[in-house]
Amino acid sequence: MRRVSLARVLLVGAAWAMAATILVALASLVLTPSWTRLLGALRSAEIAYALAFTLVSSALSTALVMLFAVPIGYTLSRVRFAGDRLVRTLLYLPMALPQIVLGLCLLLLFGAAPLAQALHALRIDLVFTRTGVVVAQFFTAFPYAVRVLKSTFDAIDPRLEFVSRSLGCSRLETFRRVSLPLARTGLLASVSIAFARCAGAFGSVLVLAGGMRMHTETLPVAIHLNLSYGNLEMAVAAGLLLVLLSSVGIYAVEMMEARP
Amino acid sequence: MSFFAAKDLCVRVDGFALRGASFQLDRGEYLCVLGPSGTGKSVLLDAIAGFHDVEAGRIVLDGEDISRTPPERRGIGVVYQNHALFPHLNVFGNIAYGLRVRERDGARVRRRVEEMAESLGLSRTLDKRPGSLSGGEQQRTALARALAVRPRLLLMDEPFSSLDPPMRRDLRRVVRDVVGEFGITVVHAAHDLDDLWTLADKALVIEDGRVKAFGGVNAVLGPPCVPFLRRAEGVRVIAGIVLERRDGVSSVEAGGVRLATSDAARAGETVRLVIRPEDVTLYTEKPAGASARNVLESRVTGIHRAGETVLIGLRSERLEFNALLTRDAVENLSLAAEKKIFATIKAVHLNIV
Repeated sequence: MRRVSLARVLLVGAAWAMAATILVALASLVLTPSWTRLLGALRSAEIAYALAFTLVSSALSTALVMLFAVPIGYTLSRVRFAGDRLVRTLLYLPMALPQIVLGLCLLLLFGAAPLAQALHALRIDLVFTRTGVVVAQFFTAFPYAVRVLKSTFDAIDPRLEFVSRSLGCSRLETFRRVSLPLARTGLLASVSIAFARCAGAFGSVLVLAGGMRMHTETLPVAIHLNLSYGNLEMAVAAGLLLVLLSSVGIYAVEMMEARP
Repeated sequence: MSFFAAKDLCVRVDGFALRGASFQLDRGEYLCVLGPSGTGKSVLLDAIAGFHDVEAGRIVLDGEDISRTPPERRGIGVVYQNHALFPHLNVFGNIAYGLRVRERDGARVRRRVEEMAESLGLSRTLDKRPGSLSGGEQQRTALARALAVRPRLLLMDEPFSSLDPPMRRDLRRVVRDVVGEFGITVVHAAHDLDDLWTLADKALVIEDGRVKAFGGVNAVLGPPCVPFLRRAEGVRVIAGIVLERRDGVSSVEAGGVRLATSDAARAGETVRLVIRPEDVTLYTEKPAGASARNVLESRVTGIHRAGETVLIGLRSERLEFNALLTRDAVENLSLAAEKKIFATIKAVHLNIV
């Protein structure tokens, strides 16, 4: 008979216990409030606004994140330059910062003269505005995306790009025909992570854009506002939608990855 | 003026420096670049291809200074040890890759890909992805991809190292045939001296980022030769024509001498033979009843001491080769320059490569 070690039993048991805890925590979202009031909350104008605004702002900020993260991630992977380690550290730093501190930094940067005045002259106001939500989401998600993309490009043999160039393709053409297709999985993962980080950004959004009902109200902000007012069903409705968004995002990436 | 020349080339990559590399090749010549691992062979090839910046010196190809030309405009093909096939494309897509940059006519691209696939025995694999090919098929695909665009120069970085010995032999034959057919100039970084015997016209030895020897294969093999080639010092690579094959023996005419080898070959075929100094035995008188099929009346052309052993340079008609002897044997035979001597080589020791 096969012997099972005690250590193995304990480790597998710990993994199951952790998974079960997460499942129960997620289930409590559905089980705690009354279903009738929860459905009412889901149909409310505020939750509809928060959902639509979260989707739109996260889509915009994810697009912006990818616009910057793809070339920067590629450059960090392929180019050695003076101070590259310092640049990487600074780019990844927001991952280690509490979001509220990141929000505070952004508020001080974009809220104080002369940058605020310069942006205002260009009709861009970031503090307590919906544009501010996008900016806060951008800075929250960018480090994660760039890190995933750098690792993705690191894993692509540079000799494939050398061969492509020897066959007549320019740097840009090589990037389009070789690097990007081979980075597909990493790109999808990066989009998924960036979108989830944007949709879930709270501290940075609250500090830079403020938690204004039906204005800068994303789903995380809706949870915060409604919990403050004691509207548990509204908070749970927003929480459920966030879980749903994240699950759909991860599932979509899984499906796309599975495609040949 | 030579077709390709590297002149005092200096390249620095991640703390490693290739210094003052100079050599030149005529059109259609095949160069093997040899040297220990990590000595700068790949850096040299990548610099020629344009993947590393040249710090000093010049690279001249067909009269044009390409030292600062971007890789895509050099017209240089590359084949790597790990094949570097595009995993997201099938064999057809890989071979067509460079053609599609140049040619908009899909039918012409298809024709050219099919020609290349035919030449390299890949016709049945065109729909396959690189991951499902054997090592040999992958390397043939890499070669077809590089040659499809008719490069001016082909660079191969240890192209056979990841293959097993029988596959290496097959692929060497393929490379020799295809390179001959296309008349292409090749620079081949090699670790295996079999590549040198089989393919090269010239050899370049690099150690610690510096060129230690450059010249024709036999000249570089010496004697004397650089320490890296010591195990092959005095080996001679000779070209010959097969006269006939009878009773398990091929007769080859080389340097005005008729040689017998047990290796199979077709009459009329041009072949390369390798004479290793340790396979040559010397006699002061013509040996009677010897089993060796090759008995060559020769003259001593040189005596080179190499540690405890001595390399004796010999000439029979126009055929030059070496014999490896102990010091005792040299004294017993009273060898001296121009002395007449009989050299024997067994047919089984004379190999067609």
